[in-house]
Amino acid sequence: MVAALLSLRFRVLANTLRRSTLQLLAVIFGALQTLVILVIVIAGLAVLVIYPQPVQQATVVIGGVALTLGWFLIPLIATGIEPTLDPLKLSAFPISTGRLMTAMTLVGATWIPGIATLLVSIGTALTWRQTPGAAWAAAGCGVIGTLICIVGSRMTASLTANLLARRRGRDRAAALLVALLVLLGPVGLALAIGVPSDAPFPATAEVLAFTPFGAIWGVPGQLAAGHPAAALLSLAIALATLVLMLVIWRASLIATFRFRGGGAGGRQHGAGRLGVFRWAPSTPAGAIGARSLIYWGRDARFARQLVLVPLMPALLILLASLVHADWLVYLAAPIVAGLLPLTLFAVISYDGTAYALHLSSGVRGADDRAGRAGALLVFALPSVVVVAVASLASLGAWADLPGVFGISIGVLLSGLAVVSVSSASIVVPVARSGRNPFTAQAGSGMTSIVGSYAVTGVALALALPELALGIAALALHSVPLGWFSLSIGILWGAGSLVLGVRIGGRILDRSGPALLARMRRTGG
Amino acid sequence: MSDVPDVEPAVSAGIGAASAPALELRGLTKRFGATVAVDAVDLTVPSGSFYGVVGPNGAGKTTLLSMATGLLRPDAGTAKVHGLDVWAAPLAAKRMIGNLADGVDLFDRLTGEQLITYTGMLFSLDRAVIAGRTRDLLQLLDLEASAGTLVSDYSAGMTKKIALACALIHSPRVVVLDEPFESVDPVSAANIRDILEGFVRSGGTVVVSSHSMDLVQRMCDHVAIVARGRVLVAGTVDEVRGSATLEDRFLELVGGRRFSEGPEWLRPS
Repeated sequence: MVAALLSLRFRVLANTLRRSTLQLLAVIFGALQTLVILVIVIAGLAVLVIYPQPVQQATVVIGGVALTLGWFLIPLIATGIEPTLDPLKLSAFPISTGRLMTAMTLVGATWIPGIATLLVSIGTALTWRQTPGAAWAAAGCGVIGTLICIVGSRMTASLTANLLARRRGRDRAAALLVALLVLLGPVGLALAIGVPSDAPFPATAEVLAFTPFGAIWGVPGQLAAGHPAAALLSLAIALATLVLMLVIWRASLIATFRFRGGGAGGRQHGAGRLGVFRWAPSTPAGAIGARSLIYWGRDARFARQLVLVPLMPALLILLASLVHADWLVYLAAPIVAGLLPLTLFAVISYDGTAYALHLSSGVRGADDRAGRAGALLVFALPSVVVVAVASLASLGAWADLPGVFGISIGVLLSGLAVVSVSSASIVVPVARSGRNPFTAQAGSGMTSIVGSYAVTGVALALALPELALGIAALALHSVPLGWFSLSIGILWGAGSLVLGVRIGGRILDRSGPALLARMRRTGG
Repeated sequence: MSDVPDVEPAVSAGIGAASAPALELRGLTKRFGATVAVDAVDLTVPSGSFYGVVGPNGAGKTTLLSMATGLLRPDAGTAKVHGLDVWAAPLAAKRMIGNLADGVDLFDRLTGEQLITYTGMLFSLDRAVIAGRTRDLLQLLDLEASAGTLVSDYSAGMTKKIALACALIHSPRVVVLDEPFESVDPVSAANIRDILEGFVRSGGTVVVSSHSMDLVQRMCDHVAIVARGRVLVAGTVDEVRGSATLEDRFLELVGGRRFSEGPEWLRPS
């Protein structure tokens, strides 16, 4: 049964890749990129052998925690990094939950991110090769660590999917916040204890080695340092974490079958709640803008991406205080400004076949572009301003505000200009509306990543004028130069955006039917 | 009668020639890889007719109607609505078409009322007009109680009905409906039929595709039988069926009927 599920998943993958050359290229590119990173990381682990023991332990543990957290958090933020067997689709077949879990774990372990994680985790043995006992332990712990990563990511995906199936926005936001606190709490504790000490990194790592996410990575180092009791305790914590996650995941899957198998049957509401449509102008662009805004709040696939807005600056400020590098704080607003448009780089994919309505209504491409870009600006502009003010407030560097505004607003507008063009010709397979947003389709993660790189590159090139001026203003601490970069950012950015909407619109007028045809094939 | 909706065909849309057929397809062709889904189809739908398109599964009905309404670009051939080429003058042509496509999702994170309003706004209709027509359509299709419910929570039949409302909001001259009665309850189906018949009586044109021969025979005045990407026969219902029923004529033309009781293991006793 498990073998049948595994072969089903690879059959689906092979068929998808055979049909789409773009996705095949994306997968190959992604694999190559992973390979390069893998070689660098494993070489790094091997070189680590010459450093003193505390540095080795700190690097392995902190790296391991980052890797684990990545597995936990990425399904929440990015559009499905990995193809999945959808429990709901399989619910009609007599498959036991245990077998399904085994199959899903194996699927995770047999695809690029899983293989890479396994290799890196086992590769930590190279760091401890002067102490054979620790090296062997590292190899074994690597396997357990990879399991924790995969099971954890499945668990968060399943929990969040169940949660997002409820349509109350406030419920979702609150639960997501609780989950983030549970995930990040132990790390925060370790930082709080470690950072004030004389050697922040080793001290933090020492605490992390007894937290759920760091325990398994700490075991070999504790053995190498001659603390078998500590190693045993860490191992116990890690195994307990794994078992607990399996129990939670299982319960969550069962809940999925029980509560979401049905479908219809929501509450009935009468007419008269038009929401944003009430005040949007009755034009194609106005309608599409209003609909986009409603979707940002109501559609899990969009709402999820908004997690980035508070998370990014918080992490950067934390990191900056940890490594004493204030310049990191300056990145917060520009990064948020760059990431928000990126969420639209293949936005028509999220319409799915519902996009047919725009085609049959004869919506002009430029109106489509303008509506979507406008909706993003409605909340992206205030978000960027707030993040810029908040991040600089943490430093008290008010004089740099105009320069940071110039860079951020420029990046936001040119990013929007680029995605207005890119989304007129790119569709990536995404989860259909109302379905589990984590059941990504094969290869979509890679396509998204490659596409995002391209879009980011072009957007940065487009934003060069205000970037150069803004950076000069920050470097020279020149307030007038800052204001100059702000005005250039607004003017040049707005100009690019208008041009992007026009060009993207013209492309969409031509490519619209082909996009729909592609989504009809992939969406089914 | 206040119940009558404002869905009479727009008289102001005098762009196309008055004598031109409602729908004129010439040599429409679509290939998917090696398979020819629609093979050089010619079809003329006279203005003011109630036209049925019937055919077995995979006959190419949806592909044909998608090309006729501007959703799928044909490999060859032309599609004209009241004399206007759908692919050369899409904006003007699509204002005359009301389209209910099969096999596409709706923007289901909107409420039913929002979805109809959204469609009206895409056609730049006046806000007061949208509000009035939305009210009429919701009442007519018996969706008033769930107007504020998300479309994703609708049943299959309700989803069809709300899609139909979206197809009618801009008061089109030609309505193209792909499988409009699928999973719609009998009461709603009868209501929908009344609306469509009223629409045809006042000069509009309706094209429906359906699996139900009975329904087409009762409802339509014209019919085309489509199979394997070609039109096998087209004309008035009486011409096509002759002295037989439409279903007999269909089975005779399409073939593939098996006279057996199914395999032995499928007989419980």
